[in-house]
Amino acid sequence: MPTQSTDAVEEVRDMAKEFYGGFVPNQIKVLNEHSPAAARTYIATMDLVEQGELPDHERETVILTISRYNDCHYCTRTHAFLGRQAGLDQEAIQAIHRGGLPEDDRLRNLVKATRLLLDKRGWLDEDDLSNLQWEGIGKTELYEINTLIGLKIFSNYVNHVAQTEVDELVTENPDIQEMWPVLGKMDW
Amino acid sequence: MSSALTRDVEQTATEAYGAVPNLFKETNQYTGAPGAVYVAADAALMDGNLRPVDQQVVLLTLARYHNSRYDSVIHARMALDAGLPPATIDRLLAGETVADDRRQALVEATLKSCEERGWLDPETLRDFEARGVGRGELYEIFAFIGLKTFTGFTSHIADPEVDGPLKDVEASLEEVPDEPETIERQRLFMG
Repeated sequence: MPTQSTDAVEEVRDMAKEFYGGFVPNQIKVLNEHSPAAARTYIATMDLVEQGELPDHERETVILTISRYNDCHYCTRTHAFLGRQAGLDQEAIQAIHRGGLPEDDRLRNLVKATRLLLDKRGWLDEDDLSNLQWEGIGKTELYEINTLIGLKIFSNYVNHVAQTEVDELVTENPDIQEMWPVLGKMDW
Repeated sequence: MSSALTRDVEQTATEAYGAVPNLFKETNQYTGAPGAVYVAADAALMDGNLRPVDQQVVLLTLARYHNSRYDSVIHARMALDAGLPPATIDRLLAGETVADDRRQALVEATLKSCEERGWLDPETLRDFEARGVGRGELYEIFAFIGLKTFTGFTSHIADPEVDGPLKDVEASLEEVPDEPETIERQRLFMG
């Protein structure tokens, strides 16, 4: 198996610190240990998708939906934390985690669209597209949801295999601790 | 629409591929994020554990898995450029096994990861590692699964025309995956 060059590993660590405000998330450490290129891919692409058209709280809603769909212990908890920072309320996050729908119409429609895309593996027919359009979900939203599905499949699968430990920054957050009955506390 | 992201996609894709692929011409009308994410990931993964020919084995497997005509043709062209024999490309697009065990291990790791949604057990991981697909390769396969899921899903909606310079490749392929006859929703959650 290829050995990772020290330079490549350090470059990614520096890139992560810059992107995450001096902090290197455990998921990036896990990726960087075996493939700095994969770690770099994740950091760079998440940076780009954050520059897309969906506002932060809508993007986090979609990410939570995908991560719950794939049962990713790391991303459901990490994006519960990031979702709170982006302005999502506890109830919306917990509804998604329970497999339900948020009360807010716009978030509800984004969750429904994300689940529809995943359930049908992207094969939406004319009726689907028309119904979604009626609910305010057009191609801008669908194309960004698809992009997020791709990025989260990548990280969700990595975390399944690596059993990545959830970062203390997340587990020690009071909002997250309040949500343990729904999110489930990880016993490491 | 025009934004910093869409302009970046136009410039970077033209430099990397010679032109902006039709799929990203379509997405750029609505948002620059898909194209920008794709070209950035494609460039970053070129420095990974998987060599270009390995990458194309994985990408052709995924194009077939998603029944994506558009991705099948693009990656057939890129696979030829990477040195994969035409007969192997046809076998991958037909879902047939390939003779080289390392390449077959890449195919199996890709399909197993898709079917199990990344829940690979320790015995499976050991088997792949023994056949040359270790953790680093697997993580890069996961990245490609993500990329091809998003381009596949987007192609299903956008139905882009195969790019002009690739039409001769499309014509030369024995079998090109396409939309399945029946599409059923497998509902996991409410909504």
